[in-house]
Amino acid sequence: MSLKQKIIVKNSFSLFSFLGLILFLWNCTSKPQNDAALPYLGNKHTEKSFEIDQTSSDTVYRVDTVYHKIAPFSFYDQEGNLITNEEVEGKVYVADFFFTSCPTICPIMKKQMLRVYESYNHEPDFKILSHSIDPTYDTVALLKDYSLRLGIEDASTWHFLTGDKERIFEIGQTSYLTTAMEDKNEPGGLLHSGAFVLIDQEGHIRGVYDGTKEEQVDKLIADIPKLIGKNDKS
Amino acid sequence: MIKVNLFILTLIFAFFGCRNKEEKSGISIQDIKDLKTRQYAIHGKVLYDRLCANCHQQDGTGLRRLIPPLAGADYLKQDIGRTIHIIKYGLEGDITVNGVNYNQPMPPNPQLTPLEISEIATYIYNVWGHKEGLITARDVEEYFKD
Repeated sequence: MSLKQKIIVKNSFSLFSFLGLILFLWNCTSKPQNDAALPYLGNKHTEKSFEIDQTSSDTVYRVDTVYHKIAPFSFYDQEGNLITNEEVEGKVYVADFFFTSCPTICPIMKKQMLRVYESYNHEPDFKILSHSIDPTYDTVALLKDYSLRLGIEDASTWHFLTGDKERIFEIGQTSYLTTAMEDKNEPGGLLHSGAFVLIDQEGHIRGVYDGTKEEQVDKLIADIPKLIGKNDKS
Repeated sequence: MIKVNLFILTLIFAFFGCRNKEEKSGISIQDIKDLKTRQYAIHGKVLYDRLCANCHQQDGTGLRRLIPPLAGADYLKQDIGRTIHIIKYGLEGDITVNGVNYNQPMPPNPQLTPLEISEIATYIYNVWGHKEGLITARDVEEYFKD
Protein backbone atom coordinates (compact mmCIF):
# COMPACT_ATOMS: atom_id res chain seq x y z
CA MET A 1 0.00 0.00 0.00
CA SER A 2 1.45 3.33 -1.02
CA LEU A 3 1.48 6.21 1.37
CA LYS A 4 -1.17 7.96 -0.67
CA GLN A 5 -3.55 4.97 -0.46
CA LYS A 6 -2.91 4.73 3.26
CA ILE A 7 -3.90 8.34 3.72
CA ILE A 8 -7.08 7.83 1.70
CA VAL A 9 -8.01 4.73 3.74
CA LYS A 10 -7.26 6.55 6.98
CA ASN A 11 -9.32 9.53 5.89
CA SER A 12 -12.29 7.46 4.84
CA PHE A 13 -12.22 5.70 8.21
CA SER A 14 -12.30 9.05 9.94
CA LEU A 15 -15.12 10.12 7.70
CA PHE A 16 -17.12 6.97 8.45
CA SER A 17 -16.47 7.33 12.14
CA PHE A 18 -17.69 10.89 11.91
CA LEU A 19 -20.84 9.86 10.06
CA GLY A 20 -21.35 7.08 12.57
CA LEU A 21 -21.09 9.59 15.38
CA ILE A 22 -23.72 11.77 13.74
CA LEU A 23 -26.04 8.78 13.35
CA PHE A 24 -25.39 7.90 16.99
CA LEU A 25 -26.32 11.36 18.18
CA TRP A 26 -29.40 11.40 15.97
CA ASN A 27 -30.52 8.09 17.43
CA CYS A 28 -30.00 9.23 20.95
CA THR A 29 -31.55 12.67 20.93
CA SER A 30 -35.30 12.79 21.25
CA LYS A 31 -36.92 13.85 18.04
CA PRO A 32 -38.47 17.30 18.21
CA GLN A 33 -42.23 17.37 18.56
CA ASN A 34 -44.27 18.23 15.54
CA ASP A 35 -45.03 21.91 15.88
CA ALA A 36 -47.76 22.07 13.24
CA ALA A 37 -50.88 23.93 14.32
CA LEU A 38 -53.74 21.73 15.49
CA PRO A 39 -56.61 21.15 13.07
CA TYR A 40 -60.23 22.17 13.60
CA LEU A 41 -62.30 19.01 13.87
CA GLY A 42 -65.94 18.40 13.11
CA ASN A 43 -68.17 19.77 10.40
CA LYS A 44 -67.48 23.23 9.16
CA HIS A 45 -69.38 25.38 6.76
CA THR A 46 -68.88 28.74 5.15
CA GLU A 47 -71.13 31.70 5.68
CA LYS A 48 -71.32 34.45 3.14
CA SER A 49 -72.17 37.92 4.19
CA PHE A 50 -71.96 41.30 2.54
CA GLU A 51 -71.98 44.88 3.57
CA ILE A 52 -72.08 48.18 1.78
CA ASP A 53 -68.84 50.08 1.97
CA GLN A 54 -69.65 53.53 3.40
CA THR A 55 -67.24 55.55 1.29
CA SER A 56 -67.36 53.91 -2.13
CA SER A 57 -70.86 52.42 -1.68
CA ASP A 58 -69.59 49.18 -3.24
CA THR A 59 -70.89 45.88 -1.98
CA VAL A 60 -68.15 44.02 -0.09
CA TYR A 61 -68.58 40.26 0.14
CA ARG A 62 -67.11 38.23 2.96
CA VAL A 63 -66.78 34.47 3.35
CA ASP A 64 -66.31 33.16 6.88
CA THR A 65 -65.53 29.59 7.81
CA VAL A 66 -67.71 28.54 10.72
CA TYR A 67 -66.20 25.68 12.72
CA HIS A 68 -68.03 23.10 14.78
CA LYS A 69 -68.54 24.52 18.27
CA ILE A 70 -69.46 23.11 21.67
CA ALA A 71 -73.07 24.05 22.44
CA PRO A 72 -73.91 25.99 25.63
CA PHE A 73 -74.25 23.75 28.68
CA SER A 74 -74.92 23.97 32.38
CA PHE A 75 -74.00 21.23 34.85
CA TYR A 76 -72.98 20.94 38.52
CA ASP A 77 -69.47 20.06 39.64
CA GLN A 78 -68.26 18.14 42.73
CA GLU A 79 -68.49 21.30 44.85
CA GLY A 80 -72.09 21.91 43.79
CA ASN A 81 -71.08 24.91 41.67
CA LEU A 82 -73.02 25.56 38.51
CA ILE A 83 -70.56 25.18 35.63
CA THR A 84 -71.59 26.63 32.29
CA ASN A 85 -69.79 27.29 29.04
CA GLU A 86 -68.93 30.74 30.45
CA GLU A 87 -66.60 29.00 32.92
CA VAL A 88 -64.43 27.70 30.05
CA GLU A 89 -64.71 30.70 27.77
CA GLY A 90 -61.22 31.84 26.81
CA LYS A 91 -59.76 28.69 28.32
CA VAL A 92 -58.34 25.49 26.92
CA TYR A 93 -59.95 22.37 28.31
CA VAL A 94 -60.10 18.61 27.98
CA ALA A 95 -63.48 16.86 28.20
CA ASP A 96 -64.25 13.20 28.83
CA PHE A 97 -67.17 10.97 29.83
CA PHE A 98 -67.16 8.38 32.61
CA PHE A 99 -69.12 7.11 35.60
CA THR A 100 -67.83 6.33 39.06
CA SER A 101 -69.13 2.76 39.21
CA CYS A 102 -67.68 1.93 35.79
CA PRO A 103 -66.05 -1.49 35.80
CA THR A 104 -64.32 -1.18 32.43
CA ILE A 105 -62.13 1.58 31.03
CA CYS A 106 -62.81 4.45 33.46
CA PRO A 107 -60.04 3.77 35.99
CA ILE A 108 -57.47 3.66 33.18
CA MET A 109 -58.86 6.90 31.75
CA LYS A 110 -58.68 8.53 35.16
CA LYS A 111 -55.12 7.35 35.65
CA GLN A 112 -54.21 8.92 32.31
CA MET A 113 -56.22 12.09 33.01
CA LEU A 114 -54.27 12.46 36.26
CA ARG A 115 -51.12 12.79 34.13
CA VAL A 116 -52.77 15.60 32.15
CA TYR A 117 -53.91 17.21 35.41
CA GLU A 118 -50.47 17.00 36.98
CA SER A 119 -48.87 18.53 33.88
CA TYR A 120 -51.16 21.58 33.70
CA ASN A 121 -53.05 22.13 36.97
CA HIS A 122 -50.89 25.23 37.61
CA GLU A 123 -52.18 26.83 34.39
CA PRO A 124 -54.96 29.32 35.22
CA ASP A 125 -56.38 29.03 31.71
CA PHE A 126 -56.62 25.26 31.63
CA LYS A 127 -59.47 23.04 32.78
CA ILE A 128 -60.69 19.47 32.71
CA LEU A 129 -64.39 18.60 32.50
CA SER A 130 -65.24 14.98 33.33
CA HIS A 131 -68.94 14.36 32.66
CA SER A 132 -70.72 11.57 34.50
CA ILE A 133 -73.01 9.61 32.22
CA ASP A 134 -74.70 8.07 35.27
CA PRO A 135 -75.73 11.35 36.91
CA THR A 136 -78.60 9.86 38.92
CA TYR A 137 -76.15 7.68 40.84
CA ASP A 138 -73.19 10.08 40.61
CA THR A 139 -74.49 12.86 42.82
CA VAL A 140 -72.50 15.96 43.74
CA ALA A 141 -71.55 14.34 47.08
CA LEU A 142 -70.43 11.11 45.42
CA LEU A 143 -68.35 12.98 42.86
CA LYS A 144 -66.76 14.95 45.69
CA ASP A 145 -65.76 11.72 47.43
CA TYR A 146 -64.54 10.23 44.14
CA SER A 147 -62.41 13.27 43.29
CA LEU A 148 -60.90 13.41 46.79
CA ARG A 149 -59.99 9.73 46.60
CA LEU A 150 -58.37 10.48 43.27
CA GLY A 151 -56.31 13.15 44.99
CA ILE A 152 -58.07 16.17 43.50
CA GLU A 153 -58.39 18.45 46.52
CA ASP A 154 -60.40 21.27 44.96
CA ALA A 155 -62.37 22.00 41.82
CA SER A 156 -60.20 24.86 40.57
CA THR A 157 -58.97 22.91 37.53
CA TRP A 158 -60.73 19.57 37.32
CA HIS A 159 -64.54 19.62 37.41
CA PHE A 160 -66.45 16.35 37.78
CA LEU A 161 -69.85 17.15 36.31
CA THR A 162 -73.31 15.82 36.91
CA GLY A 163 -76.70 17.05 35.80
CA ASP A 164 -79.57 16.16 33.51
CA LYS A 165 -78.83 12.80 31.92
CA GLU A 166 -80.35 13.63 28.55
CA ARG A 167 -78.37 16.89 28.37
CA ILE A 168 -75.14 15.03 29.14
CA PHE A 169 -75.78 12.36 26.50
CA GLU A 170 -76.76 15.06 24.03
CA ILE A 171 -73.69 17.22 24.54
CA GLY A 172 -71.51 14.11 24.36
CA GLN A 173 -72.90 13.04 21.05
CA THR A 174 -73.63 16.29 19.27
CA SER A 175 -71.01 18.64 20.70
CA TYR A 176 -68.03 16.49 21.66
CA LEU A 177 -68.82 13.97 18.87
CA THR A 178 -68.18 11.05 21.17
CA THR A 179 -70.22 8.05 22.27
CA ALA A 180 -72.16 8.30 25.52
CA MET A 181 -75.38 6.34 25.89
CA GLU A 182 -77.23 3.66 27.78
CA ASP A 183 -76.61 0.10 26.63
CA LYS A 184 -77.99 -2.86 28.52
CA ASN A 185 -75.38 -5.17 27.00
CA GLU A 186 -72.45 -3.25 28.45
CA PRO A 187 -71.01 -4.01 31.89
CA GLY A 188 -72.45 -1.27 34.09
CA GLY A 189 -75.27 -0.68 31.60
CA LEU A 190 -73.66 2.33 29.97
CA LEU A 191 -71.59 2.72 26.86
CA HIS A 192 -69.06 5.45 26.35
CA SER A 193 -65.90 6.00 24.41
CA GLY A 194 -62.58 6.55 26.12
CA ALA A 195 -61.97 9.75 24.19
CA PHE A 196 -60.28 12.83 25.63
CA VAL A 197 -61.49 15.81 23.60
CA LEU A 198 -59.30 18.91 23.46
CA ILE A 199 -61.23 22.19 23.19
CA ASP A 200 -59.75 25.61 22.48
CA GLN A 201 -60.57 29.05 23.90
CA GLU A 202 -63.45 29.51 21.47
CA GLY A 203 -65.12 26.15 21.99
CA HIS A 204 -63.76 24.38 18.91
CA ILE A 205 -62.58 20.77 18.94
CA ARG A 206 -58.82 20.71 18.24
CA GLY A 207 -57.96 17.11 19.05
CA VAL A 208 -59.41 13.74 20.01
CA TYR A 209 -57.23 11.23 21.89
CA ASP A 210 -57.77 7.73 23.21
CA GLY A 211 -57.70 8.22 26.97
CA THR A 212 -56.89 4.57 27.57
CA LYS A 213 -53.59 4.68 25.64
CA GLU A 214 -50.50 6.16 27.20
CA GLU A 215 -48.92 7.27 23.88
CA GLN A 216 -52.10 9.08 22.84
CA VAL A 217 -52.19 10.92 26.15
CA ASP A 218 -48.50 11.82 25.70
CA LYS A 219 -49.56 13.46 22.46
CA LEU A 220 -52.39 15.32 24.18
CA ILE A 221 -49.98 16.59 26.84
CA ALA A 222 -47.66 17.78 24.05
CA ASP A 223 -50.52 19.42 22.12
CA ILE A 224 -52.01 21.50 24.96
CA PRO A 225 -49.21 24.14 24.93
CA LYS A 226 -49.92 24.72 21.24
CA LEU A 227 -53.25 26.25 22.31
CA ILE A 228 -52.51 27.79 25.70
CA GLY A 229 -51.36 31.38 25.41
CA LYS A 230 -52.52 31.60 21.80
CA ASN A 231 -55.82 33.36 22.05
CA ASP A 232 -56.01 34.57 18.46
CA LYS A 233 -57.42 32.46 15.70
CA SER A 234 -54.67 31.73 13.18
CA MET B 1 -5.92 -1.44 13.94
CA ILE B 2 -7.17 0.59 16.89
CA LYS B 3 -8.80 2.97 14.43
CA VAL B 4 -10.64 0.10 12.74
CA ASN B 5 -11.92 -1.21 16.06
CA LEU B 6 -13.00 2.26 17.06
CA PHE B 7 -14.79 2.61 13.76
CA ILE B 8 -16.66 -0.66 14.20
CA LEU B 9 -17.56 0.24 17.77
CA THR B 10 -18.90 3.58 16.66
CA LEU B 11 -21.02 1.90 14.02
CA ILE B 12 -22.42 -0.55 16.54
CA PHE B 13 -23.33 2.32 18.83
CA ALA B 14 -24.77 4.23 15.91
CA PHE B 15 -27.26 1.52 15.13
CA PHE B 16 -28.06 0.15 18.54
CA GLY B 17 -27.25 2.95 20.93
CA CYS B 18 -30.14 4.00 23.16
CA ARG B 19 -32.62 1.78 21.36
CA ASN B 20 -33.55 -0.39 24.30
CA LYS B 21 -35.16 2.35 26.36
CA GLU B 22 -38.66 0.99 25.94
CA GLU B 23 -37.99 -2.28 27.72
CA LYS B 24 -40.82 -2.74 30.18
CA SER B 25 -39.90 -3.41 33.73
CA GLY B 26 -40.66 -7.11 33.73
CA ILE B 27 -43.06 -8.41 36.32
CA SER B 28 -41.43 -11.34 37.97
CA ILE B 29 -43.32 -14.23 36.32
CA GLN B 30 -39.99 -15.43 34.99
CA ASP B 31 -38.64 -15.53 38.53
CA ILE B 32 -41.15 -18.19 39.55
CA LYS B 33 -39.04 -21.30 39.92
CA ASP B 34 -41.73 -24.00 39.97
CA LEU B 35 -42.79 -24.83 36.42
CA LYS B 36 -46.43 -25.61 37.18
CA THR B 37 -46.81 -22.46 39.27
CA ARG B 38 -45.29 -20.47 36.44
CA GLN B 39 -47.67 -22.01 33.89
CA TYR B 40 -50.67 -21.15 36.06
CA ALA B 41 -49.30 -17.63 36.52
CA ILE B 42 -48.82 -17.13 32.78
CA HIS B 43 -52.45 -18.11 32.09
CA GLY B 44 -53.49 -16.07 35.09
CA LYS B 45 -51.77 -12.98 33.74
CA VAL B 46 -53.73 -13.21 30.48
CA LEU B 47 -57.00 -13.35 32.45
CA TYR B 48 -55.83 -10.67 34.86
CA ASP B 49 -54.91 -8.25 32.07
CA ARG B 50 -58.34 -8.75 30.52
CA LEU B 51 -60.55 -8.77 33.61
CA CYS B 52 -58.73 -7.01 36.42
CA ALA B 53 -56.09 -4.64 35.03
CA ASN B 54 -58.59 -1.95 34.01
CA CYS B 55 -59.06 -1.12 37.66
CA HIS B 56 -56.15 -2.66 39.58
CA GLN B 57 -53.76 -1.71 36.75
CA GLN B 58 -51.36 -3.98 34.93
CA ASP B 59 -48.72 -3.56 37.60
CA GLY B 60 -51.19 -4.16 40.44
CA THR B 61 -50.72 -0.72 41.97
CA GLY B 62 -54.40 0.29 41.91
CA LEU B 63 -55.50 3.90 41.58
CA ARG B 64 -54.83 6.40 44.34
CA ARG B 65 -57.38 6.01 47.17
CA LEU B 66 -60.03 4.82 44.73
CA ILE B 67 -58.89 1.33 43.80
CA PRO B 68 -56.80 -0.69 46.23
CA PRO B 69 -53.42 -2.09 45.17
CA LEU B 70 -52.76 -5.81 44.97
CA ALA B 71 -49.00 -5.31 44.83
CA GLY B 72 -47.62 -5.65 48.33
CA ALA B 73 -51.14 -5.58 49.78
CA ASP B 74 -51.54 -6.82 53.36
CA TYR B 75 -55.21 -7.47 52.57
CA LEU B 76 -54.16 -10.19 50.12
CA LYS B 77 -51.66 -11.75 52.51
CA GLN B 78 -54.20 -11.95 55.34
CA ASP B 79 -56.61 -14.37 53.70
CA ILE B 80 -56.34 -16.23 50.39
CA GLY B 81 -59.86 -17.68 50.72
CA ARG B 82 -61.33 -14.21 51.04
CA THR B 83 -59.51 -13.10 47.86
CA ILE B 84 -60.85 -16.16 45.99
CA HIS B 85 -64.39 -15.25 47.10
CA ILE B 86 -63.98 -11.63 46.04
CA ILE B 87 -62.70 -12.60 42.57
CA LYS B 88 -65.90 -14.55 41.92
CA TYR B 89 -68.54 -12.66 43.92
CA GLY B 90 -67.20 -9.12 43.91
CA LEU B 91 -67.14 -6.83 46.90
CA GLU B 92 -69.13 -3.95 48.33
CA GLY B 93 -68.52 -1.67 51.27
CA ASP B 94 -65.33 -0.23 52.61
CA ILE B 95 -62.09 -2.08 53.25
CA THR B 96 -58.66 -1.09 54.55
CA VAL B 97 -55.59 -2.03 52.54
CA ASN B 98 -52.12 -1.11 53.84
CA GLY B 99 -53.76 1.35 56.21
CA VAL B 100 -55.77 3.16 53.53
CA ASN B 101 -59.55 3.13 53.31
CA TYR B 102 -61.16 2.15 50.00
CA ASN B 103 -64.84 2.11 49.14
CA GLN B 104 -65.39 1.32 45.49
CA PRO B 105 -67.61 -1.65 44.64
CA MET B 106 -65.91 -4.46 42.72
CA PRO B 107 -68.12 -6.24 40.19
CA PRO B 108 -68.54 -10.04 40.43
CA ASN B 109 -67.14 -12.46 37.82
CA PRO B 110 -69.62 -15.35 38.01
CA GLN B 111 -68.49 -16.78 34.68
CA LEU B 112 -65.04 -17.77 35.97
CA THR B 113 -64.33 -21.48 36.45
CA PRO B 114 -62.38 -22.76 39.49
CA LEU B 115 -59.39 -23.36 37.20
CA GLU B 116 -59.47 -19.81 35.87
CA ILE B 117 -59.77 -18.42 39.40
CA SER B 118 -56.84 -20.56 40.51
CA GLU B 119 -54.76 -19.24 37.62
CA ILE B 120 -55.57 -15.60 38.47
CA ALA B 121 -54.91 -16.26 42.16
CA THR B 122 -51.62 -18.02 41.40
CA TYR B 123 -50.58 -15.04 39.31
CA ILE B 124 -51.43 -12.29 41.80
CA TYR B 125 -50.04 -14.33 44.71
CA ASN B 126 -46.64 -14.90 43.08
CA VAL B 127 -45.71 -11.51 41.70
CA TRP B 128 -45.47 -7.98 43.17
CA GLY B 129 -43.89 -9.12 46.39
CA HIS B 130 -46.14 -12.11 47.06
CA LYS B 131 -44.76 -15.67 47.15
CA GLU B 132 -47.60 -18.03 48.03
CA GLY B 133 -46.82 -20.70 45.43
CA LEU B 134 -49.33 -22.68 43.41
CA ILE B 135 -53.05 -22.31 44.11
CA THR B 136 -54.86 -25.19 42.39
CA ALA B 137 -58.42 -25.48 41.12
CA ARG B 138 -59.02 -27.98 43.92
CA ASP B 139 -57.84 -25.41 46.49
CA VAL B 140 -60.31 -22.94 44.97
CA GLU B 141 -63.18 -25.44 45.25
CA GLU B 142 -62.22 -26.09 48.90
CA TYR B 143 -62.33 -22.36 49.62
CA PHE B 144 -65.82 -22.15 48.12
CA LYS B 145 -67.04 -24.98 50.38
CA ASP B 146 -66.18 -23.02 53.52
